[in-house]
Amino acid sequence: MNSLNEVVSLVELFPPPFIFINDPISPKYTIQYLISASEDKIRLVHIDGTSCFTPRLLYDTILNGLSQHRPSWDEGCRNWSQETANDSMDSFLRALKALYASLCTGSSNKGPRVALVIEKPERLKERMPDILAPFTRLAELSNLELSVVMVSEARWEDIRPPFGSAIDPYYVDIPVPTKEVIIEHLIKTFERCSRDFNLGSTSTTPHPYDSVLLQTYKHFIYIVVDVCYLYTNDPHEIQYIAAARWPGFINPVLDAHSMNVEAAEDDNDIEFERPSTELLLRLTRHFKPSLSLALEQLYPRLTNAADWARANESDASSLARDGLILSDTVMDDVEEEEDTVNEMLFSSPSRPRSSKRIQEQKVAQDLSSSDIKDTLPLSVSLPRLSQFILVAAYIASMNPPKTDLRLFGRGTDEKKRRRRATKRQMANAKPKSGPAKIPQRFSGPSPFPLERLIAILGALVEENDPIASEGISSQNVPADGLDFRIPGERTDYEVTRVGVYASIAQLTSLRLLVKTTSSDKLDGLSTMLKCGSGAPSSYETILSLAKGLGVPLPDLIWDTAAMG
Amino acid sequence: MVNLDDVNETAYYIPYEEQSAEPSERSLPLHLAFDLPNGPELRWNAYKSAWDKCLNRIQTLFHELYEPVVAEVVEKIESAYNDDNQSDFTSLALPHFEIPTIAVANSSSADPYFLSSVISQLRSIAHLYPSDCVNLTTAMKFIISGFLSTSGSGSSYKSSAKILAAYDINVLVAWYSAQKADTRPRNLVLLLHDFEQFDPGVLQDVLYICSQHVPSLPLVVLISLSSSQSPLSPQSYLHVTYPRSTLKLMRIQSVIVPSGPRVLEEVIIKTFVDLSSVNDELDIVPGPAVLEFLVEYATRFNPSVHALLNILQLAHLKHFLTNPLTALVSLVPHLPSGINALSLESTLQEPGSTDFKELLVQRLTFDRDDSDNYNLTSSLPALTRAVHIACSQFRTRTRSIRLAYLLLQGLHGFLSEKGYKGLGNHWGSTTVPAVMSTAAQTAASTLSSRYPQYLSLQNYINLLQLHTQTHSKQSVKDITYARTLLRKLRPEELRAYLNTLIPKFQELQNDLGVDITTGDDDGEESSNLNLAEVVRMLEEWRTEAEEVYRAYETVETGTRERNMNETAVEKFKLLKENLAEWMYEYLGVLTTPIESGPLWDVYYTGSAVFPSETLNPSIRASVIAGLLRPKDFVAEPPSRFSHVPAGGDGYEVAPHKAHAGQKDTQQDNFAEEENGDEITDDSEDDSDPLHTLPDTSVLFHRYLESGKMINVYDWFESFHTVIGIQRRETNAKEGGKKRKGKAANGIVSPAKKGKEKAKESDLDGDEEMNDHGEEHPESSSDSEERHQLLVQARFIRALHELDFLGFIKHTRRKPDHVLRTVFDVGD
Repeated sequence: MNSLNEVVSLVELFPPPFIFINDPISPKYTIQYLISASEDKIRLVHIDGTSCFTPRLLYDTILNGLSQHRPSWDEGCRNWSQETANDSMDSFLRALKALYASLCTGSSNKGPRVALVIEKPERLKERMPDILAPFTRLAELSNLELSVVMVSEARWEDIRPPFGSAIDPYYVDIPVPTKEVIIEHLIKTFERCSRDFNLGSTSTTPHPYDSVLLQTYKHFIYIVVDVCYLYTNDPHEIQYIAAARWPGFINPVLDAHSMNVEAAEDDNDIEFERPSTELLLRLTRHFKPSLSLALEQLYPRLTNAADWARANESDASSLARDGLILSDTVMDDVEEEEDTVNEMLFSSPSRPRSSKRIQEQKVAQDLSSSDIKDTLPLSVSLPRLSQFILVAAYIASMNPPKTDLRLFGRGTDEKKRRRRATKRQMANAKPKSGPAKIPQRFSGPSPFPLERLIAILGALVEENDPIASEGISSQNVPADGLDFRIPGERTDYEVTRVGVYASIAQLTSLRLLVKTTSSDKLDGLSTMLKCGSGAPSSYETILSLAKGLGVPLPDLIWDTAAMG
Repeated sequence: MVNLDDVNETAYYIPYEEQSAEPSERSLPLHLAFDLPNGPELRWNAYKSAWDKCLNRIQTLFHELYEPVVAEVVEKIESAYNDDNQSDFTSLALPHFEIPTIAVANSSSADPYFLSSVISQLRSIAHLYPSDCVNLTTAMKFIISGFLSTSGSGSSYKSSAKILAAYDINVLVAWYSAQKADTRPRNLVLLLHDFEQFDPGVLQDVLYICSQHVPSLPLVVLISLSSSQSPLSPQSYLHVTYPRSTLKLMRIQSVIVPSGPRVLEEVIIKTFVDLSSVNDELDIVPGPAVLEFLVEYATRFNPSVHALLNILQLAHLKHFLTNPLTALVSLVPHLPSGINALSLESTLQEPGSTDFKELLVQRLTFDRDDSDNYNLTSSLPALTRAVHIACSQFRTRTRSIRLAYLLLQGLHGFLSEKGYKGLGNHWGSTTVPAVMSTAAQTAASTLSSRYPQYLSLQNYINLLQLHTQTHSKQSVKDITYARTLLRKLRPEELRAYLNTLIPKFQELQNDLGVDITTGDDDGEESSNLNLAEVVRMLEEWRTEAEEVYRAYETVETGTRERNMNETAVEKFKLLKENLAEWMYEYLGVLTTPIESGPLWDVYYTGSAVFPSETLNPSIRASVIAGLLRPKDFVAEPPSRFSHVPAGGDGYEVAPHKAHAGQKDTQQDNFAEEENGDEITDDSEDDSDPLHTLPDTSVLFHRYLESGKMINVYDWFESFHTVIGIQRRETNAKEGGKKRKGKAANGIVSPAKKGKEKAKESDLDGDEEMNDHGEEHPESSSDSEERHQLLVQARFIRALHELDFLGFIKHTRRKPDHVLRTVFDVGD
């Protein structure tokens, strides 16, 4: 973080008009660091490229931020500037000069150092491409001593306005955060938390962020970083995981302390001491497996930190097994039931214990993933016809249209056709020269017209759905006066029902199917659909659906070899 | 009013009415034969009250069902910003504050009850719909104005250049901090309706901007997902669509609203089968046909609340529209308090109601074969009395069938609780359908049985059809099997079973208490269920069972001598036998078909065919049929009411209606092709000659004969010929000329023509048009030119009509050709 400190001093002493900081890992962290480092020294406005999505918002944010003006509701959300300052670059520059002049009070008649920190400048480029170049030259245009600092994941070469209209920035590249940087950041977080907490409450009972525990926390952090650094080096992500695990990690120590306090009622306060090394090792051994679990579930945000921490609290018995419940009273309760286990543990110290722990971990995993298990498979939550439609959509998405007749055509020469199809398939499997064709599986579902979906659906329903071919219910057949003599005609009638179209619309609203053409275009090309991302385009999901329906899916996929 | 009996009339045209226009006159059902003078009105009112009752019941049930989930969601929202201690420590050290987000699966806007009851319990809530989210500016504007409008002062915000923009979230921040501390809402709920429909790009930015201002702005995002997947699974829409950078801004908690087959079945069973609501009976009892269609539709198409309501409403509507006797429902309410004999009598005395009266007498005498017909026709009080008796008898019968179902279900539940198989897999693996576990469901869904998910309902339907079932008498088997099972009970089980059975009967007796006395026994079938007697008998058996059990207990625990208490063994055997036999006979009595009572069709839809084609028509088939045989659709439908009760196949179907005819016409077309250029004038069946059809139909006939691509010019040519015949026909009629034979030879189908003129067809159409004009030099008069123009105009209009209907697809490569989109099965 030395380079950042350099930036701060540079801005303070001799501000370059334009600095570009490229941080591909964690720009958010860089900005936070920058803001905290330049506190009191530089008047700094933080502008966010996403939040300021129109020039007006951008100007308002900068002016209100620099003047530290908070629009209040009672004044009708008035801006800082009395005049209209947000309709063009010119009026903005005028207002900026006026603002700077108003800041230049006091004897020296010298204003504070001013810097604009722009986060996500690439979003500004997307939305207002014309505004980026003037902003790089803001010092020049406004004739003020200010610097513009852009912090981005992207490189300047990718954002730079064309024709050299922007001046070249002072480049700063932030290296990938090392373990030391991350640890330092986490320790700072700990200190901040312990400060915040002490300010907030007056109680003397120790809490997870008690300053006594700092050394323990350092130890904990080393382990967390060790486990996670391989997968992510964003300090914020590791902080997230640490935050989720730490209260649970230290809880046995806190419990033990409060029990000691209770036990020794009459004595004066028992000093809260940091846990011994031995205890620390035990804690580590107990909780280390759950760290990788935390990474697995928290990094992709399958759950959130608070819920994960709640779901992964250790129960007394597993703690006791690892010797983590320090008070004798509780130990007694547990010991009785754990006696046999302990004997076994002592006789063969390592193996059963570890297997126990793995079991524990499994239980924990089951608990925390119970939400996922709640999910009903599509085969239950969808009505039968919708399942057919999904299978048909998958086939239509994965097969080239010219294969439909080969796969579904049933005529007098059915056998011939099918055999040829299989022969071709064999030939396909052989290695061929020429550019390698990307299997459909890797290129994703391709769009198909609605009519093709209906046609394939008809073929599937005709061959695999006895209900449709025998008629909705037997009593209906004489009543509706329909007489289907040609084979397949009944199915044809069934699959063009309103309900089928309604089901397709329903699946589209669930995003299991995706409409690729705009809905307001009635004329011209027919509606195109494709399988939605996720479940409906995964072979496994559709295969299990097809199995439930009795559809031989592997036979109906042209490029089976590529499906794996 | 529409005719729901006509299976061919599947789509209705509802003319557009301007909003400002006066509401048109209340339309009443058609006047039927044998109807009362004010029959339509009576039936309409009866329909409305009956349907309202049913709807109310269903709504209440859904609200009850959703209540815990609603409470959970509200609780999560309320506690979003004041968490307990433990998570406080966790969130203290987080890198940034996360927006509390509650993702509710299964809560699509299609479900009318869930979201509305959540919304009703929240104070400040802003709704965001996918259509509001076309871009970030409008989305933010909608959010901010949504919140501002929750307080009175907010609505007056007018944006100008000197103040913050209306889409600036700082407006919301300023507004919120200006609220008085005591009246300030604890949190601001942003409800995202139909989450799957949102543009993810816009929503990502919205969420990002919101996340910059929590927790000073206590936003809670409530996501309404239509899919039933848990929002936290890695395959869920949320995780598949949104990047991690967005997901990490939110603290997502998931709630799953119960839905799908389980819920639907539970509601149906509770509405129509459970006896707990017996004192507030529904007016109409849906018969097996309706229930079966309901199950069918829910399994195949749509298990939603809307579908359920639609089907039931349609069943009610049809019931009241087609049977004049249903007017009795409003005249003779079945509740004792509502009995108003006078109204029935006075109505029947009116002069216009003689037909109705006759029909009523006929029905009554038809149903009961005893001989006091004379009485009924002559004396009005006797007639009304007979109607009342019929009414109460009907109630008793429906109740007994439901009781029979509950008894069987109870026995099955009891046995499967004890670990037996019970009555078999088709009764479900657990007693209550609501708590069917996920595992059981998945297992059930893989079964190849026809209705895997609606087992309980199917069993009830089987019971209703007990005596009409032809293929498999499943219910008869079940009842017999129940007897066998009861005979095999062990002493302690017998005791336990009686212990569960008796309270049920007692409860039932209490519920029915009032009603039982009203059934006036008139030498007719007794109208009560003999509950008191049953309870008395069962209690006797229970004391016996108690004794036997005790005897057995001492045997087993004591000396273990088998021979000790022979009398007890005998007694036990006898007791089991008695119980089994009684149960068998009792069930037999209870399951007397509802149809066997008098006037059952007034209250019961029986096996009348459900108008499924109305709910789920095959529109394309109708359109094609309409184009092929337009005259069948224009023709006035004949009045075809028959007063035969709706059971079985009571209604005849007009054989000559559109769908029926569709096939024949197609056959004609094939025949036509074979015969070459022959026109259908003299074809032997009743289909109309081509030139008498409307233009669009003429074009469509030719369309069906052509290949995959149609040359428009050839099409026009053939159309022109047909019009020529048409013209000559009219001329012939007017002037008596006969040139028909010559014309007939000139007709060529586009397919034929296409082959002949394959090369010519690439030429410019206009040019050919001119050629065409020159081909007939003998008709080059002024009127002929006008005729040409007319034909062209008619052709173009018909072509566009087909285009609008979606039968034509244009290609860019061949502008003078169009693609066919519809093919016959035979093609």
